[in-house]
Amino acid sequence: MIPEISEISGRVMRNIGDMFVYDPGAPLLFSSGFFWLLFIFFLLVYALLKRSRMKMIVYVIGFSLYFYYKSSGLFFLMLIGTSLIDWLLSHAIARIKKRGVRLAVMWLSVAISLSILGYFKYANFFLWNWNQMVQGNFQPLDLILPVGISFYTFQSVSYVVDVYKRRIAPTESWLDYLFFLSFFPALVAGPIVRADYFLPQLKENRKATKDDIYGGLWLILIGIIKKAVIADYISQFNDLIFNQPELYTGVQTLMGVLGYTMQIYCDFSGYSDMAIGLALIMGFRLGINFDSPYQSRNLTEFWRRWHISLSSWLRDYVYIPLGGNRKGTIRTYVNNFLTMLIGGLWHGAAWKFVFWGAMHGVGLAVHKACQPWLRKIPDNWIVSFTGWLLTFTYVSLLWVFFRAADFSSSVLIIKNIFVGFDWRQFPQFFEVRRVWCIMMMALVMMHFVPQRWTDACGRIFARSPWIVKLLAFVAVVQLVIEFMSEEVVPFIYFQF
Amino acid sequence: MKSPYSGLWIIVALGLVLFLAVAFFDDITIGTWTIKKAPFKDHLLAEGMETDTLTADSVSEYIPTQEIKTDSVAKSILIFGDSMTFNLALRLAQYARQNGHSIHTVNWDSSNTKIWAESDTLTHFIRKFDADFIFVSLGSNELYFKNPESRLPYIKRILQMIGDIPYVWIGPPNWQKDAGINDMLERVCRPGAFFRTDGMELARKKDHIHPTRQASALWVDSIVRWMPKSYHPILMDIPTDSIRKVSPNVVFLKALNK
Repeated sequence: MIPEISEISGRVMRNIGDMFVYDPGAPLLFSSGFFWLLFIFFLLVYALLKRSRMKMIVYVIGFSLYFYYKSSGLFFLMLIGTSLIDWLLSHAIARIKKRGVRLAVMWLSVAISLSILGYFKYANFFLWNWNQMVQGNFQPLDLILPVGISFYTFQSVSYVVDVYKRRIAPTESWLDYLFFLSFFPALVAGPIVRADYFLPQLKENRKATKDDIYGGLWLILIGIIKKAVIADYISQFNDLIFNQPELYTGVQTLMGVLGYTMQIYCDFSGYSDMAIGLALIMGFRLGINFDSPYQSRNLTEFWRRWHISLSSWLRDYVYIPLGGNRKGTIRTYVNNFLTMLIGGLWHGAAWKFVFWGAMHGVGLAVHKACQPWLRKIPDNWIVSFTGWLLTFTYVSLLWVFFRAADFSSSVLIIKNIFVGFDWRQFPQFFEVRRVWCIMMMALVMMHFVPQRWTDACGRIFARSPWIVKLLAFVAVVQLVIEFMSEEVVPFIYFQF
Repeated sequence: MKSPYSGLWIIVALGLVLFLAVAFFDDITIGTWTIKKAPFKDHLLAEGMETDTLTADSVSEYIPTQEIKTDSVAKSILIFGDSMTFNLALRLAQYARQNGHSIHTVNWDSSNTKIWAESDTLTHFIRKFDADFIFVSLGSNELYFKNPESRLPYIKRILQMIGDIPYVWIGPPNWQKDAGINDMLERVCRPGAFFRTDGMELARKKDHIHPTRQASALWVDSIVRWMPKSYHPILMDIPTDSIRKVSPNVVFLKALNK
């Protein structure tokens, strides 16, 4: 009997110990039970240290680095190194008087950040293309992409550029900057936080109010439902369609495409909601990242509502420096196109992302070109609906290229929808995929609920008695458990 | 002074304690609905990987302890599995024709071990075809599952359904390094029953996943060359040139029916 107990306790201890070490297959997700166990203890100490700014900073940095270690192993050291280089160079930029030298130092810092990103993310892509051109043998480099590198690299670039442009002063302490760059809620999948928005909050060290704390919890619960219940569930069917498109009918393919359109939104905006909610609980605001993007009536509006932190970053650090709309009509279109091309490449090192970005660039340019004509059309519901339908269809079709394995699969999927379509298959589909259909319908309804209703629900939740909050928390977690797929499905944007 | 976090802390801690407690209690059923439990118990009590089993590289080195004679009796062969199955069956059918076996194929697109384990499809077809030799072609749709150990109960269930019937589990043809399903299959299948495909270079269709028909034929040839080293070799002489096209008896199951 005694050896059995000691064996079980040994196994439990070993399993608990294993949870704390880096496992590439099990990053620390906000929707995981282990994260919440850690967060309980994190919060306990955070509440005690919050009043002392320096202690709070050191503590949060420690937790953030551990969080990054759990997702990317020893790459957390690279994050520390990047922050140190940025910080030293930003001080040099602030000190140097000569504009040319300042510019050179700024470019040095940007080049270092982009080189690291380029090496890990794009080296194999360029090698592959080079070998295609010279007909050589492609031997991929054995590279692991550190999680979230695209997000924190963009934060680091914007910080250095803003210091150069004297929009902000460099942080006095390196720890402040490391806090900003490694802040765990936004570290691995954004939102891409701007230094001029975040650093003043850190300086102020504002105490979180009860509205912040429970508003944050509300956002987290919404995010968990979006990600761990809806996105993960509907992805199971979508994956079948995208993995073997040749096997499915037009109706199934159409539903798979619509499913992925909703899945990527729920996955990414769900993550953003959780990140924003966690930060809010800690007393920090990250801004909004999604604003019901599928309500958009044109592509320009879509990019104002989708991944707002990325699109505004691209606007400020790519589009405007390229000349924006200041250099004539044609240059405006070209700048738009190039910006979206870079945006596409940011999403991944593959031609399909370049194509996806380019087609969004083309769409934006076409919309801009049509503006004078569009302004003359009366703004009634028919026009609104048509605009919405065209935008939604265009965005959904482009998601096919984003998700499918390659270009030919994308074409096959789109062809399937138009060629193999038969309305009579709908009843059979609804019968077989009832839960999937109900979830999609609920999702569409949720998406079109006015924002003020959602905000009102959040306020009611924040002011409700603690037992209501506890019940809501338990209900959401149980919902996750009920719908949990066997595999932990990482966030789609983790790979970017 | 009371911390603003105390309420949140209590809510989250109470919630987690509740889920932790429920995870260790008996099932709670309300009407026909049994409440699913958080997998705390599984995670905490999970046993480590067994280390005294075959390693990833050892299948080709598997040496039977005693000489195994080839079973020369004509067999009723059943090959079942995912979308890789059909192309494998085309070539296996030629071997079957050459050696006097009959062959029956059940190809269930996009299927995986869970689907087969949780349905009675396999037992139905074993009975229907009176199968006395089985090829399994499963695992391709589970290659990149992060936790291959989660498939263990399904694989065991499938092997249970196969029972004493001699079998060869044809390993999935990796197109990238898998997350461990091959190692696990090798561990669970009886020694000499798992053919490891993952080291093979196979020409692929446009989807970069499925081997071409020609590559599948070469794949089968490799399996047949390996079979004398398996735990229950059957007669598998190379088909003569006269046997060109054999249409195997194939049952196609569609993904929609899952």
